[in-house]
Amino acid sequence: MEKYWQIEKVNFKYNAALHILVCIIILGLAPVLMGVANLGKQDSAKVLEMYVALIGIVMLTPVFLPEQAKEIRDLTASKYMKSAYVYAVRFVGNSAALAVFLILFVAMLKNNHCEFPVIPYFLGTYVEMLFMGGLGLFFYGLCDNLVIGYMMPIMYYIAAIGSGSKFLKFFYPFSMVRGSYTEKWALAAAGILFIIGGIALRCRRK
Amino acid sequence: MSTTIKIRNLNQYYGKKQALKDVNLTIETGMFGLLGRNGAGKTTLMKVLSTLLPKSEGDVTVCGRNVEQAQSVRKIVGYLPQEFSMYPNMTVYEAMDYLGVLSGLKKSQRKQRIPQLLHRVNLQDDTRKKVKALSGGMKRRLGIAQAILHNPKVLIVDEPTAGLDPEERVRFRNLLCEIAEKRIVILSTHIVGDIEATCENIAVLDEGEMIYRGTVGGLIQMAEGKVYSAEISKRELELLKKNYIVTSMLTLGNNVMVRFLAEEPPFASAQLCEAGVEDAYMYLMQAERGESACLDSYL
Amino acid sequence: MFGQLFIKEIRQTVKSLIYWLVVLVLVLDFSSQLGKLEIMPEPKKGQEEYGVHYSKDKDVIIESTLGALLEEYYRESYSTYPIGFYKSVTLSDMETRKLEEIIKEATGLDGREEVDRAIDDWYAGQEQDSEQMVMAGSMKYKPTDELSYDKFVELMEEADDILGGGSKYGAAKRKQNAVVPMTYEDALEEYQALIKKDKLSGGYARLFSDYMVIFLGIVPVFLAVTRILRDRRAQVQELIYTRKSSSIVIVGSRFLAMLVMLLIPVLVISVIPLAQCIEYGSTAGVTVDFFAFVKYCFGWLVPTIMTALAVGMFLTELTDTALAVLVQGAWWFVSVFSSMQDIRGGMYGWNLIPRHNTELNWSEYHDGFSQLMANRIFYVALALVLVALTIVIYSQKRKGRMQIRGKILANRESKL
Repeated sequence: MEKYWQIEKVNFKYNAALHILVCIIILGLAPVLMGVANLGKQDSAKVLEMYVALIGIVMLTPVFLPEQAKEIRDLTASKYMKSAYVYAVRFVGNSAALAVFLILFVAMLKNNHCEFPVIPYFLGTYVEMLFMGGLGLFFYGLCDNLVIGYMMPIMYYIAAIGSGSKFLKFFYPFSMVRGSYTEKWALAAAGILFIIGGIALRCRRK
Repeated sequence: MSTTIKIRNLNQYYGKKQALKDVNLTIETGMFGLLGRNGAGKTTLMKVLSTLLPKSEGDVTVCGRNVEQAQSVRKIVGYLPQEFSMYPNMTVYEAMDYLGVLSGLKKSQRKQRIPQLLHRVNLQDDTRKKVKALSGGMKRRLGIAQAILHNPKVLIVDEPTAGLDPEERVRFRNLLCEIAEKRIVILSTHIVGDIEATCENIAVLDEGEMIYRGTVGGLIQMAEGKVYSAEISKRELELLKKNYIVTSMLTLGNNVMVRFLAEEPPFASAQLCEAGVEDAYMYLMQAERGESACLDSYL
Repeated sequence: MFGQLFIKEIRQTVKSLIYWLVVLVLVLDFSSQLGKLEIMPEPKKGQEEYGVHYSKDKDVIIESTLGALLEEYYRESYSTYPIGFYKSVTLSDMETRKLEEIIKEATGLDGREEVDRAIDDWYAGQEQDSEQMVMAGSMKYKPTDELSYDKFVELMEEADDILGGGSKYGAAKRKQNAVVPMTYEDALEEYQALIKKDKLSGGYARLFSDYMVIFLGIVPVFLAVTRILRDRRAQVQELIYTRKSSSIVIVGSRFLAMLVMLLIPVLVISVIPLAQCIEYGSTAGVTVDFFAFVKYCFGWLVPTIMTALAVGMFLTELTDTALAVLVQGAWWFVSVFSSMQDIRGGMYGWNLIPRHNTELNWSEYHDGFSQLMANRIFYVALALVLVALTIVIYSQKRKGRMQIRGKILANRESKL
């Protein structure tokens, strides 16, 4: 167990710290850009689904970044610990950070007298974060290109805003705004598949 | 038009760390070797010459052109970095062509010179191979071909033979010697054998200071009469190592054949040998550190 | 030299995976939004409805905007959309007093009591003739006789500033406050403008640009970041640095190659709606402007593409990271959401992503044309400045300066 903790400590110090800072900036700007007080169900959902969930892309996509250079990847791959474990530990650590951010943000909204069901909104937003971030992680693993990793979830986001649920159907990410949670199950399933698939693809790439 | 490189009072800093200390050097046509251990400042000096680093203090001219006029220097300098790499998806020919364009060669010149050069470095059958499919030696050869593509007056090669097998290494040295017939070729290395086989003039850097400049012969002369060999038992070896600098050893059963440096004849069974570049280099490095090659008399 | 390098850069772009992903995104964007384009038929008399539009009648604008102001003042809560997200604003006492002065100057109503009475009167009146209630809840209020339209605009801008922007009193919303149903005559007029002024294809080229510019406000950055980072990944930076070519040629050829390669798919896709316009024109006997799409691609889209590319090149060359994706993403987010309230055109402002989400509304396009031109010229200039800065950074890096990952900084940092 100690060794996994050590991996996460290194991840936190050299990889995640910068991305955590970006998340803090994004969330810190929220009160400037939009209302975070006295919001109704719909407006709360909009803030969470269309804005806060974006930090999922920031935190989860760059999980493979430390081994971007081929030489480093070869070196770490030659070690006893499987790369998949290293990636999994980082993923768990980063998604825990996401959960903490989301808890704090939701608590802040509640404290500011926003009206919404806490647990469903928390889970719905968290699932969307995993889906968006998983999409990025998957394409990063598939194409070995961080920029493509960022591009895919961003394109998905824009498509969701542009064409709405018409084309994305069950994978429409902003369903809570309309009071529906069924899409979240599909997003959760797809998100988990993306994450597992992305890590598997990355480990196979030599 | 001048055909020499002149370096006057060059000082170079990385932040507070001084990487080169008051270096003075004139380099003429032919092979020139820069010797020194890792971190001695060889790469820094080469980067200043190839305009990759701004010089901090001093005067540096390459064939009469000041290195501060980067564009004019780039026209006449070819550079092969320590780690030569190229876009992995390009073919050998495409890579040459791309770098040729960047060097300002016209299409006709490229069409003529690229096949010639690839032939010269023995890559003529691999023109359509992707860069990522090349072996280490092939990559190095491609590296040298690209560096002389624009027919530069000066060729700067950083650690050219690192990672090459012995056969490749010999071939590569010969190639550099051919190239050096009409131009200045500066090569840096910490492999003494490279220098021995190719260079007439050398400079030795240590911690940013130039501790020797002159011919290879001159360097050897410094160690002349100070190199001995002896066959000793393994038990004695530890004691010998403590007191002398051992430049090579060979195990022969229970005994060891050692080659070492000593200011005066050490013991009866030791035989005086002809000094080689490696011996001389080791001698120089030790002398520079203020340690005498011979600390105590033995026995 | 420039030309040959330009061609080599184009080849590199064609061979890169990210380029084809960008093309795919543009194709999907087009086919999902305009794939089933229906050319608008001439409106006929006796249709049930002709849609709505924003009245240009200044009295209607003034009365409905002042009505909204009184209602919000009455509730002591103001709805704003600074970047498209709802934000409720509560004012401090001092700000409320400033707003009261504005209300007094515009309506003559002095203080809370008088406003309360006016609101009560309005609702009482509404209940009496409730059958005529067209727009439920939207109050109208007549201004003082002395209030000129210019003064009204000035006062409302002031109110918008007090509320932090995005309020019902800003330019975009003022217009929307005066939404009225279209009559047959209005609809016919719009249609006539489409046929005569826009020669049909102009209107559709604008709509095409509207859908394209959303994606082109961000996808170029991915291409640019990938191109610059490729040098670092392949470790060819030093090799290229020592070549003879000037930094202007190297950076310039990359920029131009990416710009051209982004423009090509856009122009190719635009042939489809152009063909539809030509086909419709030939059956309906309408003269069509064949070059409308090309004009709009260059005038409307190129400045945005250039800016996103230049941001990508500049920040990547400066930091050697994918920071540009974050910056351009944020810029895109703010640009798109802040214009979300009004995407029907006319309100182009200084937005990087100017919207005009209809083939109609030529008149507002015409009114906003000089602003649009200024906007587009500004972004071309901004892009060129960023490219110039990129060239400066590149040539400094070639000489060993400004290398964030270099040894000079590494040694400095360790000394801190």
